[in-house]
Amino acid sequence: MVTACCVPLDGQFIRELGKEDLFSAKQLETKSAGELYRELREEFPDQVEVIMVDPRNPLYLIPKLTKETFNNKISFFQALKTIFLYRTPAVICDGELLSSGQKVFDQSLLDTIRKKVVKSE
Amino acid sequence: MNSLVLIVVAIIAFIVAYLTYGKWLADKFGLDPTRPTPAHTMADGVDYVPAKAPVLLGHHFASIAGAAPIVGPIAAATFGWIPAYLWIVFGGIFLGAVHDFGSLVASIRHKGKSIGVVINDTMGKTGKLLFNIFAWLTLILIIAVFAIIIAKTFVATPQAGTASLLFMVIAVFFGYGVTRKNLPMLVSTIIGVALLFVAIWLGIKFPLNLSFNTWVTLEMIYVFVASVIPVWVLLQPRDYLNSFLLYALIAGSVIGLFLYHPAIQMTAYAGFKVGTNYLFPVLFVTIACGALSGFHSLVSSGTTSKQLDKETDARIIGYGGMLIESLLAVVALITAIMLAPDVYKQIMTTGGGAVPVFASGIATFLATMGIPLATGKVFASLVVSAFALTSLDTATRLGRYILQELFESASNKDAKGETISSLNSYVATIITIIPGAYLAYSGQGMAIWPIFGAANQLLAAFALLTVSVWLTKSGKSSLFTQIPMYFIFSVTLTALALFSINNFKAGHASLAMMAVVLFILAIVLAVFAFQALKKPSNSSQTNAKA
Repeated sequence: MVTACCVPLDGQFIRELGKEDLFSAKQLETKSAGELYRELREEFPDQVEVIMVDPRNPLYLIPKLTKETFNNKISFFQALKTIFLYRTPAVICDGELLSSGQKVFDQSLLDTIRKKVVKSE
Repeated sequence: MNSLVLIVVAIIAFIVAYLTYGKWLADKFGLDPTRPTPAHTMADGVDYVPAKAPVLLGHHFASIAGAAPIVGPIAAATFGWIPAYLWIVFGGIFLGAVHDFGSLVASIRHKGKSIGVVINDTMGKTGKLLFNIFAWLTLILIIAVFAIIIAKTFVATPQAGTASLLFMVIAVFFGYGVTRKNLPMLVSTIIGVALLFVAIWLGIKFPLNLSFNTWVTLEMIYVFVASVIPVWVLLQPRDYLNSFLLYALIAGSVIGLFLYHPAIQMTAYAGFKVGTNYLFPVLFVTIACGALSGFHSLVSSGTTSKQLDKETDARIIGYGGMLIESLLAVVALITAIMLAPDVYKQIMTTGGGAVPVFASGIATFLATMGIPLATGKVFASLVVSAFALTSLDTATRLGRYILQELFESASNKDAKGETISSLNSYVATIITIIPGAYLAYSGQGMAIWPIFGAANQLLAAFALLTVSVWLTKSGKSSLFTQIPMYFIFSVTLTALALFSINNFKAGHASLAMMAVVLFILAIVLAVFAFQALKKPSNSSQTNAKA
C-alpha cells in the first residue's frame, strides 16, 4: 500500500477491483518470502519465530537488527553487514544475514536455517 | 495561556482514553487474544502475515498520517482555538479512534476483507455504481485541493518548490538504485535522506519563483506522468523516503514545542458564525483527518487487518494509532494559534495558506534546537508538500481505475474473456485530471477543502454504519458506533447543503454543483446502505459471529 492521508492505494483492493497488479515486483518478492514463511511455520511451528518487517519501518527494524546481532554475538563486521548492507528482500536469522536481494525462497537457504535450528537445540 | 498546557492535556486525555474507553471498547467488541486472527488462519506470508504490534503500529501510522491532519486544524483555527481543540481531542477519542478501531475489528471478523469491498459487495449493482461516482467526484476534489495547497506553498516558499523538484529526482534515483540495481537498503536510505537535506540547501540557494497558475500547470503535467508510470519509479521510493521525513517532523516538532512552548495569541472562540460559515457543521468537516477520517477505514481494513497477530493488538493499532494522529493535529493547531490573529489571517488569505502557517511554526520550534529558521521552514514545507504530492498521484490513479470501471461493458472483453474498459488509461487519466485542474485554477482551496472533508467524513459514516450493523447482527450493543454515525451523517449532509447554497451565492457554480451532486448521492447511498445492510444477511460478510 502507498498512502498519504487521505488516499490509500491498496494493491489488493486494486486487484480485487479487477485492475492491474500495481505492485507486481513487490508481489513477487512477498510471494517468495511467503513460501519460506509457510515452510518454516510448518516445519518449526514452535522453535522458530518468523518476523516479517516492511523496510518502511526503520524505527523497529534498526534497533531490532542491532539487538539481534549483539545478543547473538555476531562479529563486528558481520553485524555491520547485517545492519547496513542488506538488500530487499533479505533473510536475517539470529542477527546473521543469510540472503540479501535475491529470491527469498531457496532450498539451500532453508537447509541453512534447519541447521541453525538443530544447532540451537 | 501557554500552548504547553494544550499539548500536555491532550497527551494525558489520550492516555486516559486509551486505558479506559479503549479498554471498554475492546471488551464490547469481545476481543480475545486466543482467537486466531486472519493473519494466522489464512497465513500465506504474502498478504496475511502476523506482525508484532509495534511493527504493525509503525506500518499503520505511516499509512494514515499525511498532509490532511495538518491542513485541517490550521484552517479551522478561524473558529477559535477552543472549538478546534475540543473537536480534535474529543472527536479523536469518541469518533475517530472508535471508527478506526471498529473498522479493524469488523475486518478481522470478516476474514480481513476491506470495508470498501464489504460496502461495495453489499450495496448491489446500482449502489456500487453510485458509490463509484461518489468516490470519483471525491477524488477530483482531492486533486483540486492538494494541487492548490502545493501551488500556494511553492509560491509562498519558492525554496520548497526547488527542494520538492529535487526530492523527486532523488526518489527516482533511489527507486532505480534499490529496485533495479539492488543497492543496500539502509546505505541507500542514509544517502537518500542526506541528499534530501542537500536538496533543502539547494532550495534555499536557488528558489524557484513561479506563479500559482504555472505551478498548477506543472503539477497537472507531473500528475499525468506520475500516475501512468510504474509505481516503483517514483511513488514507492518517495513514499518510503516520506516516512523518514514524517518521523523527523513529528519528533522535531514535539521536542521543539516543549522547548519553545509559545503563548496562545489566537482568539479562544470567534463565535458561532465566522464569515459565511457556521461552526456547526463547518468545523467538523474542516478538521477531518485529525479527528475522524473515513479513509482510515480503508487502511485499517485493508492491509492492517491482514497482519494483526492477536485480536487484542487492535486496540493499540486501531485506537492508539488514531490518537497519535490526533496529537499531530494538536501540534498543527498550535502552529496556527501561536500567531496573532491578524498575522494568521494575512498568511491564510495572501501568504500561501495553511502550509506556510505550519512551516513557520515548525521552523520556530526547530530553531530552539539550533536549526536555522529558513532551513526549518523549507523542511516543513517540503514534508507537507511531499505528502500532498503523493495524495495527488494516488488520487489520480484511483480516479483513473474507477472511471475505467464505470466504462466497462459486458460486451467488451479481452482475449481471456474478462471485461475491459472502453477508456484506455491515458484517456481515463486525462478525464480525471481536467475537472480537478479546472477547480484548482480557481484557487479556491479553502472553499474546496471542507467539501472534500465532508466527502471524507461521509465515508466514515458508511464505515460506522457497516460496523454498527455487524455488531447489531452479532447481538451486541452498537450505540458507541451508532451515535458517532448519526452525528457524522447529520454533519456531512448539513455541510453539503450549506456549501451548495454558499457557493451559489459566491458565484462558484462548479463547486456548488459538485456539492449538490455529492449531497444527492450521499442521501441515495445512505438509503441504499441502510436498506442493504439491515436486510437479513445472505452474505458471510455481514453475519459473521462477533
